Amino acid sequence: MTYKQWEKMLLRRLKLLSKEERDGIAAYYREIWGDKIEAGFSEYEILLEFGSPEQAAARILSEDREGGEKVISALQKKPEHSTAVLVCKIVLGILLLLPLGIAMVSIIISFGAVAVSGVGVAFGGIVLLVWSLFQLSVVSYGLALLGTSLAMIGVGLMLFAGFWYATKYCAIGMAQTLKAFFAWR
Amino acid sequence: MDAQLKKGLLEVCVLSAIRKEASYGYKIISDLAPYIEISESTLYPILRRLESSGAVSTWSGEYNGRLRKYFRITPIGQQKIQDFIEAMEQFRKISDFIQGGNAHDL
Repeated sequence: MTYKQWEKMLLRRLKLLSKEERDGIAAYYREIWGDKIEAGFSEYEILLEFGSPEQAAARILSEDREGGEKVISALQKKPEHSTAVLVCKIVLGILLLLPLGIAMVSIIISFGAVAVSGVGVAFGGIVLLVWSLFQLSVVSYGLALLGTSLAMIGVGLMLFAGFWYATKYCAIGMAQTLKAFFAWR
Repeated sequence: MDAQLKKGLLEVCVLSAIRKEASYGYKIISDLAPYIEISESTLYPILRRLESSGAVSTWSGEYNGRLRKYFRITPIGQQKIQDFIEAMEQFRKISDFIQGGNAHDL
């Protein structure tokens, strides 16, 4: 890793500090870097002494009470929305998310139709199964009916299960999209 | 050395390093190295705190084609050292007591 890469990674970890603070930190490390190079240290030795960017950032923040508190309060702070921003979000949400919502509802209705078909197929399968038990006297016919009915029950269950999971994940995805949209600032 | 104790000492150590003449980051670390270990990442917020509390004043000057920030102690910084010396005197008495000195020495 070069010093420039190290500095870039350090500043990325300090992104919650103000630009002025980050510029000050960058200038500070560049100065010490230059002094140590003049003193005969190698780039490797200097970076070893600086520690990893993560360690350096953690030390700076933990020693700097003010900076650390800023970072902690920024991380804990919930986004505040003004009324105007909220209204904009609602309008934007309606314009952007309504078509998405309509599409999602259509998909869920389609899945519902599939589920109803599945139930119907399963029910038909059960009826055939019962009927086939009376037809076992004509063995091949009865067995064919039995097999068909079991297959129909299986297909019906699969269709219903597919509907269940598809609807579930569609609903979860929609909820997460809405949550992320309204949390965005 | 205990971490909390070390933290309390570092600010005064940094002020002592610049008491006689203005200094800069790398030199401060080098001057303190025989007495107390201080990393670049630890020194930075200490210098910032000292600057914002008025204990040091700063200026930037060019050195070998690059910028160097210098730190000079102020009367507030001198007073901090003095306050620390007085606190240490009191601490020495308590330390003597803990180690078996007489109570009336306090």
